[in-house]
Amino acid sequence: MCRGMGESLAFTKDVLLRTLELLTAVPAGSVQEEEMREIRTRVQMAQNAIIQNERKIWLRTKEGKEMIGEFGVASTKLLGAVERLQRQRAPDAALLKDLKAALGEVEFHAKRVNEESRRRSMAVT
Amino acid sequence: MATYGVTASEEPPLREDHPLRAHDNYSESKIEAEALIRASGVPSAILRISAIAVADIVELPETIPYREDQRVEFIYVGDAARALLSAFESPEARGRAYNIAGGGSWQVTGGEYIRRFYEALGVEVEPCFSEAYTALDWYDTAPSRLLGYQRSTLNGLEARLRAVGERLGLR
Repeated sequence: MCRGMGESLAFTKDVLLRTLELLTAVPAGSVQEEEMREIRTRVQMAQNAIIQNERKIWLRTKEGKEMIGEFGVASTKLLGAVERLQRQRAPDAALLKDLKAALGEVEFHAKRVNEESRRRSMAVT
Repeated sequence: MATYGVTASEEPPLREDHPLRAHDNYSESKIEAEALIRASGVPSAILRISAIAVADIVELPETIPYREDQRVEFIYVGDAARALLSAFESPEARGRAYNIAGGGSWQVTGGEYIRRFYEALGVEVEPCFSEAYTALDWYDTAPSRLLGYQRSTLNGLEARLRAVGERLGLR
C-alpha cells in the first residue's frame, strides 16, 4: 500500500511504539531479563530516529518517503516477530533469532535515516 | 557582515565605512582578521560577505537566526563565489573593504525570505524566528559592483528552488 509521507512516518512510529508495548508483555522466562532490556533499548533507539527526524524536509522528498516506507516494512516485520514471541510461554531460540534479525533490519533503516539527516545538515551562514 | 554588529535601529543600507562593532567571538575574530590584513601591507581586498543562499533543501533550524521583521539581504552562493574569484583577478579592487550581498531584489524581511524560499521549494514549514535582532541588514553594494558578481536575483533563486522541489517530489 502506498502511504503519504505523514501517514508513513506516523505508521512507522506507531508500529515501533506498539512493538515496545508488546515487548513489556512478553512472558517472563521466554527471554532472559537482561537480553529483553537490551532489545527494548535497541527498539527505543530505532524509534528515536523517527522522532528526531520527523520534521526534516528531506523526509518529504521521494527518496525520503521511500526510505521511511522501507523502515515501516521492517518495523512491521519486527512487530510480527515480537507478537509470535509473546505467544510463547517457554524459551524459543528460533523465534528469538527471528526477532533479532528483524531488529537488525529495523536498526539498518534507522541508521540510514540518521546518517542521511547528518549528511544533509548544512550550516549556511 | 557580522563586523557591523546589530544595526536594526539604523537607517539602511549599511556602507563599508560603518563602524565595526564586535558583539560576539565570531565578529571579534573577523574584525581582528581585517586589522591584521591591513597591517600586513599585503596587497588585498577585504570582502564582507552576507548570508549565503543555496538552491537546495535547507532544514529549518529550531530558531531562525533573525527576526521575522528584520531586514535581511542574502546572496546566491554562485554570486559569492564569483565575487571571490573576481577579487583575486582584479588588482584595481585592492586596498579597501567591500560589502558583498545580493543587491536590491534580495532586500526583504526575514519573514518574506523564509516564506518565499519554502513556498518555492514546495514545503509547508512552521518557522520560529529569533526574538532579538541580529547582525543582518541591507547593504550598500555599489562599490563592490566593479567585481561584476551580482547576477542572480531572489526571483531567480525561487525558480531554482521550484525546479529542485519538482525534481525531489516536493511539489
